[in-house]
Amino acid sequence: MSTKSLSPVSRATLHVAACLVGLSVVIGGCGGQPSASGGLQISDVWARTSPTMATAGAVYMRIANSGTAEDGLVAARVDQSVAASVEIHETVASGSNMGSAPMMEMRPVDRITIPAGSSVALAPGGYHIMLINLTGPLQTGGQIQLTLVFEHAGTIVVTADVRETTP
Amino acid sequence: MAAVVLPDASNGGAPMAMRAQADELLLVYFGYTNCPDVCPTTMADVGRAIKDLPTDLGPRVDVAMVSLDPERDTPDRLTQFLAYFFARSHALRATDELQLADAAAAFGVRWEVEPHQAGESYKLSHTAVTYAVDDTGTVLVEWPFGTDHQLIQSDLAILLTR
Repeated sequence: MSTKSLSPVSRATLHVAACLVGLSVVIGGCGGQPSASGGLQISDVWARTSPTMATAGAVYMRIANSGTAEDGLVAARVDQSVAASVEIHETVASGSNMGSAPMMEMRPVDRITIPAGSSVALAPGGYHIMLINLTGPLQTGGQIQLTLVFEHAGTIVVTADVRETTP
Repeated sequence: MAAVVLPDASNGGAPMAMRAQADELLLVYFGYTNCPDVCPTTMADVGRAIKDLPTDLGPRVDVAMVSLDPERDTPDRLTQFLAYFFARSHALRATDELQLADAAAAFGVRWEVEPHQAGESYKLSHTAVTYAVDDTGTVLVEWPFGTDHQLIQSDLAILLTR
């Protein structure tokens, strides 16, 4: 589903409507509720409040797979009104020697495997969905829509609550 | 350590010695504002630790972040980034690479800037430790990335009341 032509207001309206009538096209976590598609349940979707001048943001969540086959998160998208582009990243600690702190390195990830009967957390210091070139600050209490693309479950739209700390 | 001095972009570029005022602590972190995960997570945790301190202790904690990315971290950007997280802060920004390297070496900070063309987006890898420095410039405590804000708060309370 493309939302590129919709203004932020109409997108919000569409989302509320989808929550009310349970449209299958938008499986967003209505009001912070977990969303599900097939064997996947996505919960605690949040983005950290961004300082005024920040151009980078991060979205975190938990993805559970109650199905019998593994799935993979292979892409994510946001509307251009939120950020110019999106990448799936992993923060990796490397290069730690005896007594020295590790280097924290951000690596692009092609696929996050969600094993069958298991769950994976996208959390600070690990996996995150990086929002690149934010069009404006992410403000506490706000929400952003994110489209997740899974290898098998297909496209799932989720709503991230903007918050200062992990839910 | 007491000799490390960097320009404070939040104070018109005036030189700042990287040590605390008398009876205070200076928390020092090296990072960059385009960092989506590690730096804002650390700043948020440290900010929360300071806010949660008793009201007589919190104001005795100062914060300095040294930019590892002065190319993109303009004085304004760095200053506003810090002001978002902290009541008191210093945006330390050295455009002299040697000066930055010396300051980083004094703390054992290591970093790498991804090779890039001008105007191209790039990432940094860096150690992400928060250092608590006293008024002589001595590092008293180091908190690695991911240290819980409650632990930082309790360490701060101990250091400020010893």
